[in-house]
Amino acid sequence: MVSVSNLHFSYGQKNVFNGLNLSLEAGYIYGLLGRNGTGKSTLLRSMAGLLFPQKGTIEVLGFNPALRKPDFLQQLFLVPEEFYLPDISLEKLLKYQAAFYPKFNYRQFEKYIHEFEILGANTLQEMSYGQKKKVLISFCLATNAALMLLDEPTNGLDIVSKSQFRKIIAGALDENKCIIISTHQVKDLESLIDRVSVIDEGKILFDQTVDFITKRLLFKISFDAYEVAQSLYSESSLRGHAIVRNNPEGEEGKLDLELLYKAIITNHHLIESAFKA
Amino acid sequence: MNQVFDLQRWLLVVSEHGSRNRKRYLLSLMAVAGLIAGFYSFYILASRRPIPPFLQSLNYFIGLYFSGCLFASMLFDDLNHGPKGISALLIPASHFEKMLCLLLYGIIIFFIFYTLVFYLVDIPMVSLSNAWGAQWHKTSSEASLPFSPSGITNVFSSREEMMPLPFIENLNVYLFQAFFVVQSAYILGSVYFRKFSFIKTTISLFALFFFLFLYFEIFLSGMMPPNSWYYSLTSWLVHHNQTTEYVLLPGWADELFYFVLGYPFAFIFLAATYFRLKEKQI
Repeated sequence: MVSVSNLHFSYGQKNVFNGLNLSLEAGYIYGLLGRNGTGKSTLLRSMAGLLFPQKGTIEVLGFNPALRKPDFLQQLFLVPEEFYLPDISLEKLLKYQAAFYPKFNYRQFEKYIHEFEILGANTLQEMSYGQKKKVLISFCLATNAALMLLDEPTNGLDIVSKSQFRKIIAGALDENKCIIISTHQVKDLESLIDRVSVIDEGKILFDQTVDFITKRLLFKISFDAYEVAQSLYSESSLRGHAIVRNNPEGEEGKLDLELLYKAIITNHHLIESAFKA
Repeated sequence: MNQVFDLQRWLLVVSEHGSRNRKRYLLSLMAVAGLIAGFYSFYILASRRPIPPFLQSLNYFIGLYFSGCLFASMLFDDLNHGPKGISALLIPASHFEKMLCLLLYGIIIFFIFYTLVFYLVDIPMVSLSNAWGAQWHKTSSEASLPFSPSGITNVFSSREEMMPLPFIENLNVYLFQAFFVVQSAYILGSVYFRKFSFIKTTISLFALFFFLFLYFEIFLSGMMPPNSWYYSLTSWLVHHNQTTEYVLLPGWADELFYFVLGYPFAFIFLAATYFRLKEKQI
């Protein structure tokens, strides 16, 4: 569905991507993680055709995104971190914008709006930032676009809404869709994503499915000094030591996305070694 | 589905743009109406006379050029503001349809509504100036002379009394033609310059005119015989043996020259706008 090959991009003198390669398929929710300024938004914008590669190629749904052809744009929806919604009512938003998307489902939109508990305001401008964001996310999901790009979607959402967001996104996926969520708030994506991609210094630092990660790594709290010393990554907490260690016995465990992310950022070679074995 | 132009999709773009900008456009038209009314009010109070047709035309064209160019320079302004630009560029329509939509609003709809608003203000203000002018006339030093009220100007007519410079034949035609060329330049400026596009386009146009001035006055004049100078862009005055001769290009060359100066420039500016829009990145 998305194929990025040898992508080079820079803002003036500042290099963002230096030969980035990435391949994404339909039927998954991808978590694109990384520090601020590592190029997550730039990558999403490049996939959407808002930025053009200086070298290398991007192919999305068989299209060159930079051409921004209508058939391509109908199958893609981007929820940017900073977004714009016109000063009109929800009814008018649907009337004027939904018609552009052939697979737009009005019932689905109403269902999401209901689940997000967006009530009251007459026009979009009367809504709070969080409410507007929820409208945009609902609209995005109701388009049933094949590729949905969400840039920091949980920014501005309260705790309850974040949990609703996870529930709604998980329910919106099917085998024909691909959802890419970029965030630096890794906790928000826990138990939602199927594949973790970490981007740093213009390259993909880590790219594995959640199933494979939990097969190869174990995330746990340990009080055993030897186990802590042997772990791939550890940090002390009030409860003991939170560790990431190899999982040779294939013990069943739950992914701690934040811990994994810290481990990758701290020493990604060590983490990668667990997947090569 | 056609990837360049599809009528149904284009109509969607047009209605979507209208819904997004209706309030802004209505407020702008009200501001234009206010400015025209303000100018007339000042004139009526200061002169105590009816507003003559040539002044109405002058007001129309000054307003048309100023508001038209200002509006044109804001036409692609959304693309210079990240969130709005992303929203505009990702609407599932072709660049051609998006540009055609903006040209519809920026050139055709603007022109119709500006003219409509002008007359909506002009007609009552001229009537008011006639009524007040008649009253003031009775008490003025010119009371012995007959009072002549003003008629409503017709900006589409070339009649002498309607135009500010009656000695130029078909002035309104030239003014309209030049307006669409200048407006096209401002449309290009709005997609080309990220900030202050009105000011930057104005400076660029002045630079272009200055270059043309230098070309005619210094380069071409240097090639002319002594004691000769340009009378217009296609005619020369040559002073020779104590007589002055009027040298003209052939009629067809003259027409071709003004045609090239007019229509193709608008087309070139708009074509450049289209290609610039295609390569716009946010």
